[in-house]
Amino acid sequence: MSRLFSLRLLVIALAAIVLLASAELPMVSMLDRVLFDGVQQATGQNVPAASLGLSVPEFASQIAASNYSQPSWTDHLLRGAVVLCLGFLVFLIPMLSAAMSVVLVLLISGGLVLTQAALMLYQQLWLPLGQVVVLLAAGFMVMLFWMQSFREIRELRSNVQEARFQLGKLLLGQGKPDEALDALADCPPDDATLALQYDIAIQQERKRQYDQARRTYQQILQQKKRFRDVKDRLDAMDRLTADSPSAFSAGFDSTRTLIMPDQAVSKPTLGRYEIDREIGRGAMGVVYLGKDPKIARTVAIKTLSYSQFEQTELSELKARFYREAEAAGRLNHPAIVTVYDVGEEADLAFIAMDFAPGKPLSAYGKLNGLLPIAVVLKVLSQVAEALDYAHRHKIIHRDIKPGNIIYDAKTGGLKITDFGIAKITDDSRTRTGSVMGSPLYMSPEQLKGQKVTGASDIYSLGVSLYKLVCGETPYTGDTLANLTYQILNKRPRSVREFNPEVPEGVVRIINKAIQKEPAKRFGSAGEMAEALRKSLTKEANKEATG
Amino acid sequence: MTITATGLSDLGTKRDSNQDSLTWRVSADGQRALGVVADGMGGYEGGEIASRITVEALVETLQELLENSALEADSLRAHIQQGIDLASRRIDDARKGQEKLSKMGTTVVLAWLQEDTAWIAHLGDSRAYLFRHGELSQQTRDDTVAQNMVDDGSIKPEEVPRVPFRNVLTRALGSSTDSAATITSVKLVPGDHLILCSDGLTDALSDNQWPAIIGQEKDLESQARALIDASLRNQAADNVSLILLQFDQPRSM
Repeated sequence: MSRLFSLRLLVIALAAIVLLASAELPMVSMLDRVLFDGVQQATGQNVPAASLGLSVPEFASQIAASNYSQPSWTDHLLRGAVVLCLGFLVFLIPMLSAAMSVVLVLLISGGLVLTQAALMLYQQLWLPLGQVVVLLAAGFMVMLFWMQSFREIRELRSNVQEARFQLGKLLLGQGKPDEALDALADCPPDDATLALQYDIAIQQERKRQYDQARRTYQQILQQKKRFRDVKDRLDAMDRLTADSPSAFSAGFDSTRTLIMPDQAVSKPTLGRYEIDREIGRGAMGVVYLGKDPKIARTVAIKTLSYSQFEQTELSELKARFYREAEAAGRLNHPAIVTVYDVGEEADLAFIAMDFAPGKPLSAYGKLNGLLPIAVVLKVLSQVAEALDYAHRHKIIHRDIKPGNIIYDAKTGGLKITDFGIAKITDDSRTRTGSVMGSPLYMSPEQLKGQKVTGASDIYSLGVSLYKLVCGETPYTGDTLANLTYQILNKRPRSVREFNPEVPEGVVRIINKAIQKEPAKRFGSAGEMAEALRKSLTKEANKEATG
Repeated sequence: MTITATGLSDLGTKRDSNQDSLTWRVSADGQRALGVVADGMGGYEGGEIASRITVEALVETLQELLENSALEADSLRAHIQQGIDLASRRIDDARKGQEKLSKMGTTVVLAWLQEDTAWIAHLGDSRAYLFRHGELSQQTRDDTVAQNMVDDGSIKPEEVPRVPFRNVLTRALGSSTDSAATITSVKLVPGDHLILCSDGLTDALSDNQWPAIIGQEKDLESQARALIDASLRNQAADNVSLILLQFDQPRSM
């Protein structure tokens, strides 16, 4: 910038020279002399000597000797003209295009020269406007240099602003409103920028970053008093904060739910999913019913709330969360919940999956609310088949239990949820037993921290079958330590103890599935499915004959 | 007999907060000493509060006795349990109406030295070790599910780190209704060291490496520092805390 500045200063210096030092510099009045001589010759007056060679005072006396009169206001006029010319050069030219400025300079110069000649010819007046033209020409040359760099810079700046605007748009599209806002910081506050800021604020609102959204709205209002419905939105948010100050700052975690704001505030979103309502709570966080607005698909969204972990543990935890979700995402089976998407927000990670209608089988785990045994056999044989499919793809569920099997009593359809996700909580550092869920369905090898295989899922499915036919589990304990001891060391309680009507075949299936030694269980989940189906056929025949 | 004591605590390399609390006191005449280490849990805020409450309650209950003459065994046991009960009540009180403190609790290990005996009380998995003639012996049995599994032969001690419920305590202050501490005693001989520590130290630095590390240093402070430094070199994930108590012949008889 300093070079540009000095170039403009140079123009100003030129003007000063014309004003103050024209007496010492013959160069300045060169054009005047040429004109003078030219007009003299044209009018046929005798020319004593060509004025070009004369010194300034000599030229002045030549003029005085001639018959042209010099009005008293000449000096004022010249000074005024020089100042106008300077203003034109320094301020007007930078705003014009190159061609336009050349044309203007030529027109003005021509006009001045013609005026001067005409005054001499018809009014017998001597008005040395030539110096102004000299200044204009010289100053314009300097300005041409200046303008070249100036234009480049202006072009660059507008390029940068455009790029930042596009970047802001892109970042917003990627769900990073804060960064988008930063990108917009240097853009001129025109309508396009304001509109983008408005979109950013809406996204912040949806992400429940109400403080940031408010700030963005206020920024918009500073530029423009009324912009769309910004005022209403600000008011609505004020009401929201007034209602629930605690939920506001805490965001949401496993114990607190996401607040559902009133109509004037945008529906909260996780990633691209609009959150409808809460449908359950897991060990990791709340489960929501959501919608993918692009394809109008209903999804269940499991969240992993960060607030329960320390910052330093999070990166590893997240990596595992995504890895597991990715593994589960490879499975494609009608009885396994499809994982669509994983994502992250400021305070949580989430998995978007198929929303399975119906109830978890744990709803049918009480003695007086059991499903008919034929239904249990049919459903669990399908679960076993799905597990067989997963095991063949080298994926172990690790947390098979009635609560993870969603059954739709109307259609008979079922879905296994939470594939592989169980592993994520294994490392929880919480030391109170109740928090990490119960190991009621966990196989001995899992409890001992040994290698988990498909046989572990078979064991857990066996305990689930036990639960669904009698409402109890093979082992109980009032504490985690006690229960662990039972599972590892004790014989299971007989299922007939709790429900004498359980058919002999089903008892055998259970006993084989829940063997402590993995090798003594069914060889594969497929084998177990086969046994369950056979048992089902037997039951059906019994019904028919009995 | 004279007793000297020192203690150190470090965040470890992965944590943002220190949920361990510790304190040690030696009577003016050097004849009795008290050391307490508590390792809080249940959310970092709750963990800090629970362990601090516990250390404060125990100091409050036992500090005065430090300057009296030696106590009878039964009276001493009663006083220690009293301090632990007080801590338990205060944790319950602090938790009331505080959602985010609902899961807080703490382990505690305490040593009381008088005459030629050390009394050791503990709840949870903070440990006490005796270091005698270059050999280390653990004086406490961890109140953990994993320890139970080792004891009943389900798993070998070296399998403990892989057990999914390895961090689950069977007893702790604040998270179980039963706050009865396990109290044991051990006779001391001159030159003995007692080491009280949180599981941050045992997890990061296997106890079979301790004798060599302690043996390399002369004074108590350097020994404590060397143990902490070694655990930090192993990227100690948890907070690391320890108290060293040394039992010696008086310099002038």
